[in-house]
Amino acid sequence: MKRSLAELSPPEVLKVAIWIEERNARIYENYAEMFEWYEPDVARTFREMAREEREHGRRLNAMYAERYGEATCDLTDEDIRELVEAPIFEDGEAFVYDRVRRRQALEVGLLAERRARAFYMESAERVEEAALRALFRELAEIEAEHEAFFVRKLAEDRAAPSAES
Amino acid sequence: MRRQEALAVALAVLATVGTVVAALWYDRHRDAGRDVIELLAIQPKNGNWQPNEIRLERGRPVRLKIRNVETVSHGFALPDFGIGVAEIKPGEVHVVDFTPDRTGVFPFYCTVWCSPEHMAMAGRVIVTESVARASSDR
Amino acid sequence: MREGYVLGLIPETWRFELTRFPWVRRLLKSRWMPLALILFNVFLFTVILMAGFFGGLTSPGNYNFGIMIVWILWWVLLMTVLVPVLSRFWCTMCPLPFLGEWLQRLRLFSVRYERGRNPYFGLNKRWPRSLSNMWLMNILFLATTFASGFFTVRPAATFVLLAAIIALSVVLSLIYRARTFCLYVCPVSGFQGLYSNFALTEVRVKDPEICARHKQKGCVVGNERGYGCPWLLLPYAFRRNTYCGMCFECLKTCEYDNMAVNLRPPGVDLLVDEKRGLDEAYKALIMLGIAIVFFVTFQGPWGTLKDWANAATLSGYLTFIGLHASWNLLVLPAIFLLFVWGARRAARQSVPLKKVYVNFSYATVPLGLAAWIAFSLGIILPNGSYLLHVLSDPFAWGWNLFGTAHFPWTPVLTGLMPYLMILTLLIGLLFSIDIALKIARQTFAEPEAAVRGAFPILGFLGATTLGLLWLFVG
Repeated sequence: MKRSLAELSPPEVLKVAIWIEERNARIYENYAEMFEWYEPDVARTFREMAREEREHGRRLNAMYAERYGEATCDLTDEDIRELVEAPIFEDGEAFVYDRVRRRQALEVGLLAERRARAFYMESAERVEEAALRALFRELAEIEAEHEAFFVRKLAEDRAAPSAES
Repeated sequence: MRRQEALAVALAVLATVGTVVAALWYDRHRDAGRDVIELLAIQPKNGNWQPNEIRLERGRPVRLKIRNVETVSHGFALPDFGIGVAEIKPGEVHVVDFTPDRTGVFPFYCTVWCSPEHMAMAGRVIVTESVARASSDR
Repeated sequence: MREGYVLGLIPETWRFELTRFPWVRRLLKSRWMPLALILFNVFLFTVILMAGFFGGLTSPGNYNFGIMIVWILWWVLLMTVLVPVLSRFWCTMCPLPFLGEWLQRLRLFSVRYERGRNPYFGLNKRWPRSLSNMWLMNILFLATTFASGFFTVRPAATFVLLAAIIALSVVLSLIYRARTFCLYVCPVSGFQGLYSNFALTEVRVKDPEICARHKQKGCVVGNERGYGCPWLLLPYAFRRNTYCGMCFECLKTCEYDNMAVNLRPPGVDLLVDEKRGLDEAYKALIMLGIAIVFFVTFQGPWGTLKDWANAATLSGYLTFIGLHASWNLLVLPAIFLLFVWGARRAARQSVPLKKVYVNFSYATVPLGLAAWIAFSLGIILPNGSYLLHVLSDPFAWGWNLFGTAHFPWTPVLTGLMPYLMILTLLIGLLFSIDIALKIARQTFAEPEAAVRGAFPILGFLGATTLGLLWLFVG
């Protein structure tokens, strides 16, 4: 039986957030595999994004260890009802029309981070337990940092001479 | 999996090479024991029956494949052997089997008004005791 | 009409999942599907090629297996049942790319898969970006129709066409990736793709959330159960039938059984405002234009036109090609442009003319399809009985396999034919009007502007229908 994120305890929420980053890293790696034969530049971007997600996961893991020590928690992102920060490349005919650029890959990441931030903010408004609310706010701030990473990358991409070639 | 792959390949070969071989074999097999003569029905101004003259051997079974290669209907009659095909439509092939039982020269005709020269659309069958055949097998 | 309803009756979102039946799901997940169907058609097309080869240049078409099966049975089935009902189901079982795909995969039944490695044999190049659209198919289909007068009377012409398609598909399969030939080159692929947007069947994701959580998109990259989408789609995300070849690989590769084959109301993909382009707009107009030319030439009372198309004289044939090409590439698109310009003016909205043109072109699809169905009725009802003949004597060698070699020519329901044609066309018009009104709302933001803007397009559809009706009963 899946549960809502708001029904979990703070350590559980944090553990799920770690799993989400790990899941996203694997999704990006799969996108990289999809684009490998097609557009190496896009594939490379997705690999970078996977690395970045792993780094996010590592940081959240450190936070977990600091706060809750080695206490185990079996929850993963698949145990919760909501779909948080799931990046999805939605252009179903992208390969047919052969028009995918690095920018689109970055936009996939940006959108996922934005949705995650909005979700955590909304959850913070909804929950009553102070500790949980604080954690949701903290997670929203972390997602805002991640968002900034993609915004920066997109700006670099736009500035690059080959961005639209 | 490996057996199913082999089965799929076998079916593919059967569907292609097998089909061609089976069709050619069947055609040869059903004509076995007979001389086969392909007769093209053509109106006189385009060349008339081809071949125009058919040489046969008495007592030897023969199969005529009468093919209309034109865009008008033709007919076929070989009255001395009681053979007639009322209509052979454009593109159609009619098969006539018979065994000539006497020697002589026997006329055959088109029996459908196919063109102003229809009356001239005729040929002949020459039956002898032994024959050096001029007509072609397919 | 009610928003969100097809013809104001059926919700656009209505779906009936055919794969909910375990035997259907099992069938589509088996690797014998579609291979068994393809193998049957490989057999059938071997007979067709033989009939074309032995039929030569002069044998009249009515008694040739190749001509009858391809241009009477297949074409009619394609236009009346396969495309409008089953989408690209012909592509599911098409034998023409069979050899090319076999060479690419080096397997017929099983899957050649190793994680992270390209499973295909050949150069696996990318098709040029500038040709990654329908333009080449538009030109090739139009060019193929130049020879329509030969295909239906000269068996060798059908042989040459099919042999050339097979040869080209093999060559392209060895150079380019996956189903490049089917996606961008096959002359009959483009219109099947566009018209399949009207079809009653689709392959789609059941629950997008499952795909969003899924870490390994086997439907795209393949796995040990099947190949990544050979039609270069992202099966978890595509939203219209245009390029889905219904090979069912995604049903096999999906680990969550999250792909479905659905029945749905007609025409809903024509409303998907994604990836619309001028190439598809031209495809819609060319198909409508060719249907009109074929009616006039092959079923109309003008013998001279038919003689031109059949190349009775070289000058006549060149005149036919000239008129045919300019009508389809210039005149009809220009007439449509006039109506589109009128629509934009009437709507008084600052939407780019190209966008209005492209969007409304999709409204002509139901009418075009109906015109082709009506034309097909004019082929099959008078000529269908010849099929019995060619089944018994496929190579015109005097065989009589099923005892029907001399079955007399028997036209069927030809008295009813004009009424059936009119009914078909009116149904097509109804769907076209429905789509046009909805596209008007998509194109022009304000509801009142949309109504004003729709009128000229309804005028185009009505005038085209009247013209076709005049051809049927005139």
